[in-house]
Amino acid sequence: MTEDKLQVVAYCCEHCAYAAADLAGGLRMQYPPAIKVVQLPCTGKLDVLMALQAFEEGIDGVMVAG
Amino acid sequence: MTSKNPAKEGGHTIDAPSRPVGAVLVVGGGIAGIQAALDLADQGFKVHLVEKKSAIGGHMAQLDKTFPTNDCAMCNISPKLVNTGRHLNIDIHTDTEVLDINGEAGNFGVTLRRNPRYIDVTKCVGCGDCAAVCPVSLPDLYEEGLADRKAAYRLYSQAVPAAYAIEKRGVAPCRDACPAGQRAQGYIALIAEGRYKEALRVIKEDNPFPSVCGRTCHHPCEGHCSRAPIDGAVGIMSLKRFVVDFAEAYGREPVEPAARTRPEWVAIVGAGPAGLTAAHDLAKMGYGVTVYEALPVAGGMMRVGIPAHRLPKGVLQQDIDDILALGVVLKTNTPIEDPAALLDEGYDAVCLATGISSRDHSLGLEGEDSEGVLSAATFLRKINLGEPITTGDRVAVIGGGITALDAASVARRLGASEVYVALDRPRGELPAYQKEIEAAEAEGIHMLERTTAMRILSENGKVAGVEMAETGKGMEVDEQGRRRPKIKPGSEFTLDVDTVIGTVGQFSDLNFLDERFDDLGVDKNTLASEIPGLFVIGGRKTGASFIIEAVALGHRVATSIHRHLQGEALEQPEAPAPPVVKFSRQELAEKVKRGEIILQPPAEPALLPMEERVTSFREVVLGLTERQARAEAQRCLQCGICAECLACEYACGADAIDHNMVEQEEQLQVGAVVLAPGFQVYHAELSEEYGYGRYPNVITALQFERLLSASGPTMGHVQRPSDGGTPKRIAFLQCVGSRDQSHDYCSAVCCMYATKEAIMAKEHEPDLDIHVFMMDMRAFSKGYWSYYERAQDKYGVQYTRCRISTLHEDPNSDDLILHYQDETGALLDERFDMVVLSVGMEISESVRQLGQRLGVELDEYGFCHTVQFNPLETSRPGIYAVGPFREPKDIPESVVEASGAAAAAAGRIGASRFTLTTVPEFPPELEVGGQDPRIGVFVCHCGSNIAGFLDVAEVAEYAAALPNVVHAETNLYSCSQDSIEHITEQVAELGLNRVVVASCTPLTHQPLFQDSIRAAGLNPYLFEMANIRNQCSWVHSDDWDVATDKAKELVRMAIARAALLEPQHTVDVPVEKTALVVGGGVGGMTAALSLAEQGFPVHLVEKQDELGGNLRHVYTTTESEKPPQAVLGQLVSQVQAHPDISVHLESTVADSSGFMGNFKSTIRGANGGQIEVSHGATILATGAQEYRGPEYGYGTDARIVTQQEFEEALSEGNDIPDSVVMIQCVGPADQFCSRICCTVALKNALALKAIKPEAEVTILFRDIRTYGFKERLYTEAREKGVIFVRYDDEHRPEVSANGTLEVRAWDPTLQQALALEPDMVVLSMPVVPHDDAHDLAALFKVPLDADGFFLEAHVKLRPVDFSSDGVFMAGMAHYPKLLDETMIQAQAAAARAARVLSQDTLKAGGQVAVVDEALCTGCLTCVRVCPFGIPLIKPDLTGVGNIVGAAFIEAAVCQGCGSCAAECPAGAIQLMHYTDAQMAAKVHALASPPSGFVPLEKVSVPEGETR
Repeated sequence: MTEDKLQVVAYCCEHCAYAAADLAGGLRMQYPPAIKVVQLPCTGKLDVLMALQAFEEGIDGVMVAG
Repeated sequence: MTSKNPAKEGGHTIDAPSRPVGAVLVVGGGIAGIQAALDLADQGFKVHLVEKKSAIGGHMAQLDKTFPTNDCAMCNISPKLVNTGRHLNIDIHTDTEVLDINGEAGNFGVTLRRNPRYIDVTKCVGCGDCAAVCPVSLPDLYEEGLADRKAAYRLYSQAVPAAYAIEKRGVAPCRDACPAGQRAQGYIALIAEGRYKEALRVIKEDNPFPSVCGRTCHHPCEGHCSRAPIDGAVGIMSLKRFVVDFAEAYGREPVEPAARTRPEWVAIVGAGPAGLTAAHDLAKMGYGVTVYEALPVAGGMMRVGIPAHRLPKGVLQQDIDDILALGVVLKTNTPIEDPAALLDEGYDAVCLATGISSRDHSLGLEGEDSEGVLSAATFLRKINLGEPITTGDRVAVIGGGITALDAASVARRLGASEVYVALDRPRGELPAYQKEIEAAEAEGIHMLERTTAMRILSENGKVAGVEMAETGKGMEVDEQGRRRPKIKPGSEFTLDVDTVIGTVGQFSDLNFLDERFDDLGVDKNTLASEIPGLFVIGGRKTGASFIIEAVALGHRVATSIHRHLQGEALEQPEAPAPPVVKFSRQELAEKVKRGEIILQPPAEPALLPMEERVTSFREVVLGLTERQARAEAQRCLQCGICAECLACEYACGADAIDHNMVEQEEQLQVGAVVLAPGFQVYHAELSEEYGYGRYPNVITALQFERLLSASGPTMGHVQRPSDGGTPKRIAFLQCVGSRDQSHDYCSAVCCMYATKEAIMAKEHEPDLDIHVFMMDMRAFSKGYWSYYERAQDKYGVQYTRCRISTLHEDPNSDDLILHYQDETGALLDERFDMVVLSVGMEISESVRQLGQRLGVELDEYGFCHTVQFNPLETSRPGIYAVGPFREPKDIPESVVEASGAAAAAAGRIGASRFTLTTVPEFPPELEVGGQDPRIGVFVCHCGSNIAGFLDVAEVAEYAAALPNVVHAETNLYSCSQDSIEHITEQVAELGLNRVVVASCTPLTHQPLFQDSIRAAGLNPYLFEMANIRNQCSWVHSDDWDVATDKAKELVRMAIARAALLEPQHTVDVPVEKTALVVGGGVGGMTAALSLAEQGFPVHLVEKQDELGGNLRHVYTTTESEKPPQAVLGQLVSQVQAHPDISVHLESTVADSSGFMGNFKSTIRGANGGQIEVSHGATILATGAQEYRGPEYGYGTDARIVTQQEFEEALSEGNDIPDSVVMIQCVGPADQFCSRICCTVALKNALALKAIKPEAEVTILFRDIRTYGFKERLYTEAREKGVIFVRYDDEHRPEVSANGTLEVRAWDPTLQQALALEPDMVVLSMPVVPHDDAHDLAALFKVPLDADGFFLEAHVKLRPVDFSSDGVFMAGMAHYPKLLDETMIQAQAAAARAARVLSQDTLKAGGQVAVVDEALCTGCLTCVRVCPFGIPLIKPDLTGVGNIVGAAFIEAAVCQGCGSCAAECPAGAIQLMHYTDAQMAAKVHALASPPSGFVPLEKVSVPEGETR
């Protein structure tokens, strides 16, 4: 990881938040490039370890949306 | 990849004619149509879903949220849209209308009309490049006119099909009037946007002489311009000239030589406009072309007939040079006398395009051979060719055409001091335009109107004057047979001139040819002569009068020659022509009135100063400035909507645009029809008192819905249309277009949607004041009452019972002032920033006409009439009606009806299940276990959607270097048909065992690519997508490097996961094709019958000793077609007689276990005996009961009764009371609205009035909730004298029964207390769940809501499903409902159950949770967290440390959400396809990019792309 480049993992439920991110793109809304959407079948699938592992890897932020 | 599966073996073997058609037509692609289509297709029928618009989705797709859960409407409908679009057995026919249906149930013939979409749905990939370049904007109706869209458009971003469409009304009148079909509206639209280069391209599509026609065309287009009658035609010709001049001034693009793709040579004789146009077209087609011209210059009459001050020679030469630049060979000074010889010389075809004869015709006047008499044509030719010519000082020109004026103005420029033009008719009747006459006059030329030359006077053989005479009215024929105007006797005079220039008609002839061609026959249509290969455009038969006509002829002959050379028939098949569209005077007047057209005269080009005109041949008209041209172009009314500028055609990389599409008729055969054409919202401008359409801040609720939507025109910000400001106070006016003089019904949804919109607006802007003005709050269904209370208590929405009769606008602030009376009678004026009209539902004229065409019975409003005991079938058997087409209703009720209609249709054609359906066919799966990953990466350009914002080639190159990747490439459109096949081929050829596509969203495109790799034998789970469009190119469109970099990261993450993907397999679990129906009331019986009629055996369990349930207590209904008890009797005997229904009376279900497709239940009979039944689906229709509580003294006095008891008493006819007080909303009705009580009370009140008209009935109520057509009962009751008194929570009625019965109440209108002494008090007791509802729910493991009714899986879209698969509900156990509503819901439950029962097997496995027993501690965490109640601890399994019992998850019903996997403390559960390792790999790949060498040979990028 370089110091100046932020990375944020956004865990998104495919039924709502992932679709919302699709729509945001369709509407050409702009957001920081740091955000990397990871699709989940349901935010219920988000294991707290998954979030912690991300920080362990050096990810700067974790976002959960669903 | 699909094949028809033959009729299932072992099924019915019925002879073809008697077997119904196994297909269903569903009309209307809204939520009801979608639901019906899915339910039918899922149970083995072919479905044709017909939608008039370009995409399905209907009104629901326009909504922001849905009540009462405030769920996002689009999130709910979108998966259904995708499923419908991808369903193998649903054909979606968009842009299509049903014209006719003939035949009868089981075998209907359907005629459809498919309207042209101008974009091929099968080719369009939805990239939107067409819309990006489209110059035409129009109000976006999906956004209810609050935003604009392009003529090339997609209905909304999530639309299915995703293909774009082009809105075109037809051919614009300007194009229609042009002989060459010039797309004037197209280039005008581009000029309006400043896109001049493209405008020139459009012009040259139809016309190789833009410079010439921009100056000298007779422009019939302008004469037909829709704008002409209002404030003058658009200056089409001037605009054309502007484009050419602009290109000339700022650098036009050189014309590239046309590619010679064909061996043939064509000779053209004559280099006039027709010949050169033909040469141009043929050269572009790839032929070799030589043009022969007798004169020393090319151009024909354009060159020699038009003086330079109107058409400068250089301008003409520009057009000619562009044609020659294509590779056309020009041979001047080469007269051809024998065109046939050219054929012998080796030309494959010859075209004679010789135009106007150079010979002079006689004027027919005495003295015309004197010296000084000239023909205008010769005169102009000599001038134009630079030959010497002299004229005298005084010149008379005879004739009123353009040539006469040209000759006169040339004579003036040559120095003649006096020039006269003799016009034999008044100005208005002349061939020359008024403007041209005026221009000539301005140059000092005298116009002699109504004057004709009689003879030419001469002296010494020289002209000495002309004897003239005035013309009178009418014409006569002279001795030589010429038509001449009549002369006014005695009007003769002599004009003193020394030169006479005569104009007579100019003709095209072929006299210059060899004599043998004198009688050459030519076909007028094909332009082919008798000599094969020789074509003629010229001569008397096929000549042209105007340049643009010559151009048109040139196009025609080129087409004919091409057909000849290709060996095709010369006669072109007749193609249907699109309509010509022009605005009527009335439409124009309305547009002016609405301010859509702002009157503005045409722009006038500047002219050369007068002093320079008559002294030179400089061009007189100077052309429009850029600013003038842009303004003039914006005057175009865009008659055709689509301008046919072809910008989309050039932009489309998928070759999907076809502007020549025309409407087509199609035929279908179906066995049944479901009509779900939906509603239209009331046109609020008809209620003039509210000023909609005049006051900008008065909007409709549907518009407000769009304002609230995050994807709407304001991105979800509530804004005032007038100034974009945030409103502070909003008023909702209810019942606009409902419950009024012209609508005797309630639209049933407006109270709740207004409440929803009020809540949502408050969520967006918490400081908003919202005030709803209504008559009654119709919160009549599940969860509505508490939603209404929440709006008041939590959000502070204010409700006032008052119907607003008018409002006015403050013109300074655009605020709106409401004048109203509050509930205490006080008159108030209140100011609002915005007013929302809660518009009701109507049937559109087109739906009404559809109903009439199909011959189904409609009511006066166009609603489809059905009967109460067969509520979904129209008057025409086999045709069903659902949704608001029957009666205004909400989404869940429409969905229920859709499923119900699916069951009814299936009952008719059940024998033909799976006869017309297809199943996917794939090759056997390849074994990839144990292989190292070999990943192929396909990076999509998506036209310009991705490649326009990031470096696609660089991403592919980067991917190629990543671990496990053996191949990476880019595709223009990865999802186009050829790319899909290409991916399949690449998988096979390169031995790929994992595939990553970097393109758009997996939500819409993943299944497509999965099929593509499956076709190559790969398991579909070996696929991963990187969404580099929606998540990258579109959101980082301003920074190429950032977007490219992020795309690489997304691809890297996808590849990392792909390497760990494993094949997943499903297994087939057999289905027990029997249903269990619990409850023998009308719901249970209807469901059982419906399933049995479809061929599924049913166990019907009823706890009482007879069938019938609550219907046994109903004696009258709101419609009196059949007495309810007769219907009940019939229903019971049908059920008892049906061989497939086993009725279990006095029985209950003691136990039930299993899962969808494989349940086992124990039925305990009256004598305690038990039987076990196996069933694939369960329907719970256990009903509910009338509340019997102590409120209002019930149970203390025989005169205080419930509605059910009152109805029974009325039916018996004993002791009919003279006066009755009814009290609504008793007891538990404080918590929820029991939906049916108002209707039942009115029904009984009317029944009493029918028996005893003088009886006094007073109804004490809170709101009268007669939704839909039930409103008519309310109206009728008031007409019959029933008295209605409202009470509120502070003033509840009181009943005392001390001897006399007394009811005390408070009348809010009179503001005083009332005391009534009726004979009887009737309490509207709400319907409440049975006492054992909780036990039943526990038995079947289904949830209840707070009021004890069954809780459906989803309030809006799964209204009869439980969240547990395979278990369904119907009737009052779900919520109180009326008889027809219960019957419909029961049919719906049957349809949902039939989806399961019609399958032989169900798929189990795939993306499901799997327990590793050896790690399981049996802690029950999974059992508790599963939202579907699926995991259980099985005692026969062994867990960690050999403990007895471990978790088990039935793969057949696991929904794959992964909640259990996330929560399992022992880590014993993995969700397949989302394993911990796969998820971790993504994050690791993001955080720790690999670095390494890029082996270039792994990259395959198309040539010409940058590396």
